[in-house]
Amino acid sequence: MGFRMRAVALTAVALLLAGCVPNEPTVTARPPAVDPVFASDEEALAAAVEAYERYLAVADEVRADGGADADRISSVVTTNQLPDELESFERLRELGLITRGLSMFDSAELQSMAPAKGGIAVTIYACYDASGIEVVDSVGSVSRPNPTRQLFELTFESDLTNEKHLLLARSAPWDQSQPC
Amino acid sequence: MGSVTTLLIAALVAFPSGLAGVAPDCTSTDWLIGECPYISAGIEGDGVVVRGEQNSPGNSSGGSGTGTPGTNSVNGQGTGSGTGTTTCGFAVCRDNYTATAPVTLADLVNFRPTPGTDSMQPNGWMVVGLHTNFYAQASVQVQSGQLLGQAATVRFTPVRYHWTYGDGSARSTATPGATWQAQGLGEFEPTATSHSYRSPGTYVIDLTIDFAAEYHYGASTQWVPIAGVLPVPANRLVAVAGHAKTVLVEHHCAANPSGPGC
Repeated sequence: MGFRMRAVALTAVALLLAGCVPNEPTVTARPPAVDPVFASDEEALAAAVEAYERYLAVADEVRADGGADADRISSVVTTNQLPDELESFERLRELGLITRGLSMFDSAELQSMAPAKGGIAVTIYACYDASGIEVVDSVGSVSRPNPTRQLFELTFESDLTNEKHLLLARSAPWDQSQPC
Repeated sequence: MGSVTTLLIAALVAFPSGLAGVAPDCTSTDWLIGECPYISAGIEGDGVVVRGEQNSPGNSSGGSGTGTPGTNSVNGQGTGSGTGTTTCGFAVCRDNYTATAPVTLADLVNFRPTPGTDSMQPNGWMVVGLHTNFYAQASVQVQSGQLLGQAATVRFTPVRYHWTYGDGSARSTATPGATWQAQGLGEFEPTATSHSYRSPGTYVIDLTIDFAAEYHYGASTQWVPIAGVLPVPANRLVAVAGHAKTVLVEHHCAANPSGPGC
């Protein structure tokens, strides 16, 4: 610290001790501009749709295997969502069920975006379509979901290593009275 | 085609209108195997009803059928009969086939808050022209019950107090009031819940407490508000108002210096 700076510092301390610091208006620095994770709502929705496609593909694979190797789902869900998914696969395994066919969805709509840990949280509505899914029990009996379509509210959050890469963070069937 | 087709069909149970409903978080796997209940709750009658509805997939079963050869008549027509089971999807069911339609499980559980209590100072009598202090006692109550195999919990919170004083006047407050002592006031001083009678007589005082209600279900700990409030009557008070000179006290002022009027 040079002489000039020391002198300024000492003066400031002296003024503080004397209670003589003038009340100058506080200047608040504008926070640096932060680039949004997604440039548009459409881009966010597209990222969420891709994430849901990835999730359903892996979930269908695990279900087709009767819940075996369920850890595969960890690549497409957040760490918070993972226990719920693993418990579901465990229930499937205990019931001796497998599924056949592919999950589908349509009518995806963006509900909201919000900052989240390590990036962004994107919530969408989507109609889950299980018309191509059969549930098969251990003796070969086949059942079909009822109804075959259900509106879901789905939240996706940024992968901690890539904020544009979304993972399923929450899944909740929406009000049954809502058309899908 | 003398076969028997048995269809076991469960009636869908519709929710009463006006119930607030949510579906708890649920994975796609649980939804596929019918493990996603739909929960709704509303104020009905003198309590809160929480309802749950859960769909299970329908199933079908069958195998290849067996039959006996038909007998041909001269003109080439034949008849035959067969027994057995056939493999078919749920919507295409035929001979000797047993199907179970998708089943909707419906359940409900009722909750009622414990009524609050109404108290008054002085207890059981009033002095005409002076304030009588009424106060309520009601607490937040949490009650739980089983709904579709999981815990449904309701929380009642007293939010408003409605007094009718029996002389044609009434008061609604957000505060339950308290004793004079708890408020640091002297006897017959006005409070937020006190009332002054103008004429001697016997009066019936009623209190109704409005409870707000919330609920949560299963592993969720997030309270979901239920629309409206639940009015619950408290105990009825019957008291006599008289002029001060006619009021009887238990002890004279020398024995009880803090007694009424001393």
